[in-house]
Amino acid sequence: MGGIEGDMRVFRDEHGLSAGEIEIAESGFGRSAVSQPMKTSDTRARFRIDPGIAWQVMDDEAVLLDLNRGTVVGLNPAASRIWSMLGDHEEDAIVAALVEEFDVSREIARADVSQFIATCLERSFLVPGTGGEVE
Amino acid sequence: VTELTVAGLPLEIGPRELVTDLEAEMLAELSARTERDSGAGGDPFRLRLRNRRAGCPVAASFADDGPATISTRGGLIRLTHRAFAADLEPHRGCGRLQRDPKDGFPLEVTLRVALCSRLPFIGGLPLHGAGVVIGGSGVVFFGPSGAGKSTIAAASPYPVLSDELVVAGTDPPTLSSAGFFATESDTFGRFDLRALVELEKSVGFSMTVLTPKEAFRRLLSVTMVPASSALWSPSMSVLTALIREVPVYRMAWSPREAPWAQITSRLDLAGATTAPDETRGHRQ
Repeated sequence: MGGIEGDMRVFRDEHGLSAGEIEIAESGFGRSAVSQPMKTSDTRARFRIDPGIAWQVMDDEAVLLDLNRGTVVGLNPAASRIWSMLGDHEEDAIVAALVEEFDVSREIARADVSQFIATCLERSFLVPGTGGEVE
Repeated sequence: VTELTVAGLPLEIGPRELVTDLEAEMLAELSARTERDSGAGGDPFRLRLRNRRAGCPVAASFADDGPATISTRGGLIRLTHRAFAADLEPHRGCGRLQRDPKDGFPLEVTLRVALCSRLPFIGGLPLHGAGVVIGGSGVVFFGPSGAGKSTIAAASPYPVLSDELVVAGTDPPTLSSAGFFATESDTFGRFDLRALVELEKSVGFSMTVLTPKEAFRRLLSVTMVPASSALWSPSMSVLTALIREVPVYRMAWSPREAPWAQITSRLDLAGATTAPDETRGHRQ
């Protein structure tokens, strides 16, 4: 009978998820504090989640499934909070939430948000856009 | 139309006059290997058949050679092969298949993909693993190639639904045969899902509970859903629910030592001594 090329599993690496698997922001706040905060005009920049990304929050930690590359990315609680707010909140609101929920200074929170967004853009989890998820 | 239910998903295939003898035979075998009742899936998945005709515009989309390929765009699934092309809309529960009527496999391949694509919308997940029925309870053994899925299924003293593809359902958690890749065993039906067990070959036996996060990530790798975020978003929700309802273990084992006594003890499968005949589902 005619088969399907490979199979329908997203992960073609039979050895599991380790190949290509990455973790973001495992060390949490403060790691990116040395980076330059975003300029004030950048705080209104909006992004949208790449259509190739599916995600789910489990126990306060988001798991991102990159369907374009067949990889899984785990986010720590702080990064998960940023991620879950990106679609429909301005950056200022995200920073405020982090300050309140994670007991960090506004400067550190802003720097981490900036770094996280830059990393997500670099890895194509986010693309510049008007916010929210799109198909 | 021709109707059947596979893993709780009602299917309607029509028009009936276009179902060839080869396809009818395949559907009969499929129906015999799975349950026909349930109705848990609600509305049926409707697949409309067309015969391939020379000059038909769709014919241009047929792949020249090689195996069927799956492409996705948003929530739409397209299958292309030299002998057929299919468009599926899993979220709406419908699709179209245009194929050369002399072949029987296009319908089977299309239904398999339709099942795997539609299940997440009705609370089910297709899993690459071996489904074993122990004392009336379902256990799924999964893991990467070489971990021993086929080995443990072949050595099982208990009925095996499949050593390739099974369907896990939620609310309540269930295990059923997907119909496709079913074993020659006459065990079929829907069973309480007691555990999901990741296999790892080792020199001795051990069984540990995975954390929900570990379980989630490990099960993602054996979830047989086409790569579309429109399908994976509901899939991940179903997987989250499944992990909350069913414990997930990692089992180190050696094929040299039968693990069944330890498995049944560890999983507290009190009815594990039930004879296979008593665990069978109902042949339709």
